[in-house]
Amino acid sequence: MTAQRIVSLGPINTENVYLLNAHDRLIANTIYCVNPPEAKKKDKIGTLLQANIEKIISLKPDLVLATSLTRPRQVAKLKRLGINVVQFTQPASFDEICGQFIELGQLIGREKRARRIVHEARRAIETIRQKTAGRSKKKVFLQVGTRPLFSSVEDSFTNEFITLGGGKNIAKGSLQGVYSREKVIAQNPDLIIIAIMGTEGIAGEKEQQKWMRYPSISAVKNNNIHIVDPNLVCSPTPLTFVEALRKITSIIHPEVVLDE
Amino acid sequence: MSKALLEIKRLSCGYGDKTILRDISLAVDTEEIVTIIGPNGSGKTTLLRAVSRILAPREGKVLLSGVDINKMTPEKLARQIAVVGQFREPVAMTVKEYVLLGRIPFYTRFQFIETDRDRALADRYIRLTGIAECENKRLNELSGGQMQLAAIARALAQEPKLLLLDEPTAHLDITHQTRILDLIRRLNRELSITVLMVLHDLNLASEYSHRLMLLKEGQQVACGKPGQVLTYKAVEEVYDTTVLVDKNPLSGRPHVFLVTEEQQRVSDILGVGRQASGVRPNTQPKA
Amino acid sequence: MSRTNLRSGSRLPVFLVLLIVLSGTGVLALCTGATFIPIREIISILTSGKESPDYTILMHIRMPRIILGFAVGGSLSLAGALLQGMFRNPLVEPYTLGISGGASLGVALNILFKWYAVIGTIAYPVSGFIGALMVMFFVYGLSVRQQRLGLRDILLIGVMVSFIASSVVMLLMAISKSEDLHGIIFWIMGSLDEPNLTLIYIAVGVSLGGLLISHLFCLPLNALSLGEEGARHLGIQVESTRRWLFFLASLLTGLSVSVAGIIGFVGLVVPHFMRMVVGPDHRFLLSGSFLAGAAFLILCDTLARTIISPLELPVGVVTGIIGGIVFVYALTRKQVVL
Repeated sequence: MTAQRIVSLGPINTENVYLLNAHDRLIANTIYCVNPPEAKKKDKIGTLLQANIEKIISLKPDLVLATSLTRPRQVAKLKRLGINVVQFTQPASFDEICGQFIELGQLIGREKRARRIVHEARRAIETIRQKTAGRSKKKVFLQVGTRPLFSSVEDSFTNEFITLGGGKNIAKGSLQGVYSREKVIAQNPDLIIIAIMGTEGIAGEKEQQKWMRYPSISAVKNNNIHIVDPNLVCSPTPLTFVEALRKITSIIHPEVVLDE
Repeated sequence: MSKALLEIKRLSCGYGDKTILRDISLAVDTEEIVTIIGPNGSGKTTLLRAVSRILAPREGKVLLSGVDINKMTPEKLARQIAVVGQFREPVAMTVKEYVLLGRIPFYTRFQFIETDRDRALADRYIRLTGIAECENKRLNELSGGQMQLAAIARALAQEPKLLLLDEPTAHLDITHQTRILDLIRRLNRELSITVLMVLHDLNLASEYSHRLMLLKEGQQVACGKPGQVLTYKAVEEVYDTTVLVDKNPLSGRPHVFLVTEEQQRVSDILGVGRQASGVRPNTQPKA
Repeated sequence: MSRTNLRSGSRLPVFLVLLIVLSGTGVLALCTGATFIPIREIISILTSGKESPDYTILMHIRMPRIILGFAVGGSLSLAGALLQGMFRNPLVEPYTLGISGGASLGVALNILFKWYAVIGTIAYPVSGFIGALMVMFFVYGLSVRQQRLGLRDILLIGVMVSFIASSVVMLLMAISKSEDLHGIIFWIMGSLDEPNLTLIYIAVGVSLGGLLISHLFCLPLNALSLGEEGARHLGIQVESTRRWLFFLASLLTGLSVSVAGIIGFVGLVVPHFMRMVVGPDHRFLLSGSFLAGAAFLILCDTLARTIISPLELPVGVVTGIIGGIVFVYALTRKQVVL
C-alpha cells in the first residue's frame, strides 16, 4: 500500500519527494521548505524543529517524513496516534544519501525512478572521481559553520565532497566538527571553502575577510578562499550532491574539465 | 516540698564555642513575677532561650514542675510555657488569626480547623488584653503597642502556667509601657500566671516584680527582692555608671536615678552619700 | 488602603470561583487549537466514535495536555507556596533550589550520550528526574551535615548549584552537534506535549498526593510565619517540618521538570497572587495555589498553541511574560506582604 497522503517535516524530504515526481501526493510541509519554489504553496505544519501535531492529524496523512531535527517527543506522539512516521537521519556519506533516497522511493511507490536517479548520480560521481584520481591531493578546509568554527567531519557526506573532488580534508581526525582557527593555521590548507548557513553572501564574505588576516596560510597567499552556496552543501538529494561535488571539484581542481 | 514552678539548676549554656551563661540557679515560685535585669550582653535573652528550650543546656538542668524540660516533647512544653519574644514579622494575617495560632499546641493529631472552644478562648484573651477593636485588622496595620498586646494575647491563648517575656516594653512610649506591665500584673493576679521576664528599665523592673535577678557577663550577681538587689553599689558595679538610689514615694520600692557628670562632682565635693536610707540626702554644705 | 478582606467563612465562594475558572480554562483549552471546535460539536464528536480525526485531536492531543497542565501547574504552584512559607522569602520559587538546573543537566547528558537510543524516549523524563533528585540530595545533605546552616544559606547554596548546573549545560551545548543542541534547547524551553500517558498519570497522581500530604503541614507553616523561634515556641518540630517541606517541594518540582521541561514563574507568581486573594493562612493557600496554578498553566498553554498558529510558542515563554506582567501590575496596585 503506497502512501497517498504525505507530510514532510523537513526541506530534504520535500526536495526528494519532488525529485521522485510524487509531489501531487505531498499535502503539507514546513515553512522552511522553499525548494523547489512550488513547495512554498503547500499547507504548512510548522517549522523544522516544531511541528503542529493537531494540524498534521487533521490532514489525515498516511506517511510522515521526519528528519533528525524533529523532536523525539513529537515523533513518539505521532506514532502513538497510529501514524506511519519514518525518520531520516542526517546521512554520513553519499551511499547513505542514496540508500535513504531508495527507501523513500519504496515507501511512495517510486522505487524504479529512485533507482534510476541513484544510478545516474553514481555514474556522474564515478566520472568525477576518475578525473581527479591521479592528481595531487590538495589540502582543503571546508568550513560549514561559524561561532563556533565548524568544519566538515569525516562521518558526514560533506567530507566526500573533498575526497571525491581530489582533496584531503585537514579536519579528518576531528570528532564533532568544532575547530580552532589556530589549528587551521598550523595545518596550512591550500584551499578554504566557506559554506555557512544563514545570510548568504554577507556571512560568507565576513568569514573570508577573517581568513585574510592570516597571510601565512597558503590558501590566503594564493587567493584560494571560496564561498559556495550553503544550500548546495546542506540537505542534498542525490542530484544536488552531484551538483555540489561538481562545484567543489572545479574549485579544488579548476584544471579538470567537467562536462554536462 | 518546693512550690517552685520553674527551677533552673546550675545552668551553663552558650552558642558555638562561646559560653554565655555560667552556673545560673533560680527557683521561680508559682504566681511569682521574676524579672531578669542586667546590661546588654549579660545573657538575659540567652537565659529565656534556655528556659523555653530553644537552647539546650551544656551543664545543669531546667525543670518545670519538677520535670526536665529537655525531656518533654515540644508540644507538651508549649502547653505550659508561652513566650512573647522580641521578634516581630509583619505578617498579613489578622489579629484574630494570629491569636488563634496560640491554640496550635492543643490541636489533636489530624485536627485541621480550630474548635469552638479555641475560638472562645481567643476571644476571651483578645478582650482581656484590650485589643478587641482591632480584632480584624492585620498585624502590619497595628501600632507597636497594639502589636505587643496582640502578642501577649496569643501567648495567653496557650493558657500557659509560665509566661516568658523578652523586653515587652522595648520601643514603646510610657503610656504603653505601663499599660502592658499593668496588664501583666493583672494576669499574674487574676489568672495565676507565673511570669519570668527580661526588662532593661530598672525602675519598671523594680515596680512590677516580686523578685529580681541581676546578671553580669553571664553570671548572677544578685537575686532577691528589689530592695535587696537594687543597691547603688550593685548597680554601679554591674552597669559601670554612677547612680543614686532612693525610694519611690508612692510604692516604697527602690528607684534608680541617673547621676550626670556635673552632679557627680558636686556630690563628691559635698561628701554626700548616694544611698537613700529613707532620709533625703543632705544637700547643705558643711559649715 | 483597604484590601479585599476575606474571612474564613467567606473563603468558600473563592474556591467555588476557582473551580469554575479551572473548568472554564479546561473547556476553553479543549475547544481551542489549530481549529476551533465549539462545545456543541465536542459533545457530538465524543459520542460519535473513536475513529474520526477530530476525536483524536480532542482526546489524544488536547486532553492529555490539559491533564498534564493541571498536574504540572498545580505541582509547581504548590511547591512554590510550600517553599515561600518555609523560607519566608518572596523570591523563592521551585527553581531557586537548583532543582531545575539538575534536571536540565540530566536531560542534556541524556541527549549527548544518546541514552534515549538505549531505553527509548522514557530516558528524557527519567534522566531529568534523576538529575533533579541528585541536586536535592546534595543540597539537603549539605544542610544536614552543617547543622548551623540557616535557611538563607540553604537558599544561597541552591542558587549556586543552579548556576553551576546551567553553566555545565551550556558547556555541553557548546560542544554538541547542532541536532543535539536543538534537542537540549527545546527541552529546556518547556512544553506540555509529553506523549507517554503513563507518565501523565504518574504526574497527576504525584501532584494530587503531594497536595494531600502537604495539608498535614498547614499548621506548622502558619506557625512558621512567626519565625523559627516563634514556631518552636508553639511546639512545632521545625527541623522535621523543614525536611518534609523540602522533600515535598523537590519531588513535585523534579517530577514537573522532568515531564514538562522548565516552565518558570508559575511557582513564583501564583502563590503570591493567591496570598492576596485568600490571605496567608496555608489551610486555604495551598489548595488555592494548586487550583489557580493549574488554571493558569492550562490557559498559558492554550495561548502558546494558538497565538502564532501553526507555530507553537514554548509555554515557559507565555508563563513568563503573562506572569511577569500580572505580577508587576498587582505589586504596584496592592501591597504584597508575606
